[in-house]
Amino acid sequence: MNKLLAATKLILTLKCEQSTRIVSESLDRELSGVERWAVRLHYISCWSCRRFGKQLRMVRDALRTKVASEDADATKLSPEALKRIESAIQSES
Amino acid sequence: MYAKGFFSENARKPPMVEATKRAKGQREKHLPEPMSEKNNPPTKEDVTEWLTEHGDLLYRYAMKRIGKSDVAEDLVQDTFVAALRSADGFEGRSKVQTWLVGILRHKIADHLRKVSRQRQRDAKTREDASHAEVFQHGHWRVGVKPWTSDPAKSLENEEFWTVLSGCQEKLPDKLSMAFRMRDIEDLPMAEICELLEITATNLSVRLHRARVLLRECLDQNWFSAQRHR
Repeated sequence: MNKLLAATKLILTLKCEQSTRIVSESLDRELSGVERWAVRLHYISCWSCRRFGKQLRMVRDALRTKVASEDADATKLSPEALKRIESAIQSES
Repeated sequence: MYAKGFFSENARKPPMVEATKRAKGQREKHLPEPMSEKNNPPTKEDVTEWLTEHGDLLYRYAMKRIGKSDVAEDLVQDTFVAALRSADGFEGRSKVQTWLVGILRHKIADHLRKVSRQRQRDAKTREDASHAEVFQHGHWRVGVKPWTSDPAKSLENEEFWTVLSGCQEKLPDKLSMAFRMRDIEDLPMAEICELLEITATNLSVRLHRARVLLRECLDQNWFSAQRHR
């Protein structure tokens, strides 16, 4: 019974800050049915939060595209770094 | 709206990543016999070989978690030094590379812990203040305006990425680290919690605040100008 009350409370009294928090979490995990409904209902009367959700996903997609297009193999130790590390290792022990 | 696969971690990677992987596989065929065939720990004499074989991988691993090249280089160095010292302890139960990465992980965790302690000692963080500027009593202080410019066009613009980068840098350290690890490096939540030594709840609070602040900054420094065009 408590769970049902908590769910109802969430759905009916969801404020913007909380809504944005749930939307943010949706980027990292799956939302529960209750959470999804709470946000959907909140969206009906809140354009700000609706836009927030869209913009958050836009930024996330932009970053993913950017990272994917960068050559991961380009990240390597520079020749200077290699030399430095090597001599540091040699002088140890 | 929240379709099951939409936020999936296993979203198919774009073609370019796969092509890079294939090309990488072909290059490795031409290298001399890999050292991993011999599963022995490094000695002082063959340090150069070990660096050539494992250095870049360790460096990439560190960069993904730390984001700073000078620190990453130091950690790779520390890892090799530690590996040489405890070479006797390596029993060959795992591959050398796994063993080296294990040492590196400890070094990374130690570094992050040190940085966190240092931050606590320095000036107090303003992150709570910044977040309070966005919400009041749970509501938006200022309504969110739409981003009207074509997203694709923004992404092609060099300046957009400069602005985004600047916004990231403006984030308080705690938030920016969580943001980088999650939204840039795409590390799993569990690993980030381990690295930063925080709970899952704490992490989602940090990510929420980071994303809210970043959106604000992007709105003010990029999209608002677009609106007035």
